[in-house]
Amino acid sequence: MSDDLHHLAAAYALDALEPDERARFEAHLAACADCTADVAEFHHTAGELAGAEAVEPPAGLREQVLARAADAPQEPAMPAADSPPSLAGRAARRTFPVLVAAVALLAVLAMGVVTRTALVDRDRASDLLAVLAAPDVELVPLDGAGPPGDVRVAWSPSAGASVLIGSDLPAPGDDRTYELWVLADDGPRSAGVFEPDDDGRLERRLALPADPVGGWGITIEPAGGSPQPTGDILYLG
Amino acid sequence: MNAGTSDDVVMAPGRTLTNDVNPFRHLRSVPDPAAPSRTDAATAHLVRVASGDQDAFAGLYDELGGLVFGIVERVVRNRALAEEITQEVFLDVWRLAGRFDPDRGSARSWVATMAHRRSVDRVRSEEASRSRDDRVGRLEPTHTEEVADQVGDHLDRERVRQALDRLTLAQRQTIELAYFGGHSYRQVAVLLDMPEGTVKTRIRDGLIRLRDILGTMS
Repeated sequence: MSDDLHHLAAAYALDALEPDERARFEAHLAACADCTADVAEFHHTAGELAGAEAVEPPAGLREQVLARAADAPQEPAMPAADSPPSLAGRAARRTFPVLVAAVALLAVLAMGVVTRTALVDRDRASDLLAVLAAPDVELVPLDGAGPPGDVRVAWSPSAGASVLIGSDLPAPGDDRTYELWVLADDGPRSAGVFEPDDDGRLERRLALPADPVGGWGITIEPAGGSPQPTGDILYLG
Repeated sequence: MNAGTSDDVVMAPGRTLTNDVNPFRHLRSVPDPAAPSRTDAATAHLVRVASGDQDAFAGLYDELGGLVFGIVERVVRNRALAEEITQEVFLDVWRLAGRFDPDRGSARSWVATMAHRRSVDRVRSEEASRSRDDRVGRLEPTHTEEVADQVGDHLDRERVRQALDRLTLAQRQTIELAYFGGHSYRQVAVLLDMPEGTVKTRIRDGLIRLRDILGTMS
């Protein structure tokens, strides 16, 4: 399965995967350095294909593009040494209340992640921490609609990823899997499939779809996941 | 549409039947084609766009507007829709510029990725309610736009054309259907009446080959 996923990097870079495969590959991509490097190279090649298609754009388009951007807010930037202070300040203000509310809990979660995973897989722990420690991280507890267990999503637009942390989750069943959904304006989008470990614990980094996040939901789907949710929403936040 | 089902045997002169199975495909003849290109103008502009610089955004449009409109129109095959999507792409670029990391690739690659994905998503969401016959209409190239007139663009175009010429016909057809046609590999498999696995392999081998050829040409 994993080997199959590696071989999808080229098709992914050409946007030639179906939505379910795209979601699965993106979930894999978040934790696979080889595929990340392959995709970067293939995107570079695809960019050259696109560049060869360049045409003179319609005359009025430039003005419309610039006018729309002038009125539009920007997402917080990645923290960078050369970021102007004004931007950093704006990003911090935007996420400040969330940070205050979540910082203690995040610290506890991060400690848990480190102690449980550091000895086993240092890279995976740092992947998770990169999201938890991002300046624009937001934390959403998901309310269970029936089943036991506790699930939280921490997500960061700048890291382009989400981290799912859960405990006491029941097994999804044979040939079934949990699937995380981002609730966007135009409906749910898969953010990847996951399964808790034998003790019902869950610590997973998943890719963040590019759309603004309106909420999160979790369903149980047939193994491999579904392009659109088919099961009841079990957890919502 | 019916061309290509036998493309493994209809090869251009000089091509070999073994091109699809390139034993060196795992070797990267290019050190790192996706390496940062901090020096290119578009990347410099995009880095500044992240801090809200509207002049840099205008500069970025001047660098990449033709690319975005060109690839979007090629995929959606509708000029009015291409204008609309180009606006959306640049709005995304403005909004999300803070996520761009020049250490992980060029602005051209980042913007082209956003433009292509948005085009493909739009085409596929509209296709969902249309018959497959309409889709096949997009197979034939009808690229009649006036091309951008900068010398650099001509050189780029010629370089890519030469690189595509060096793929096997099967690889080239598959990559063009997927990237320019906006088809998923499953759709390509249906269109060419071929096993999905074969299409996947061709996309992969073809793109690796294209990457290596373009790398050695630059």
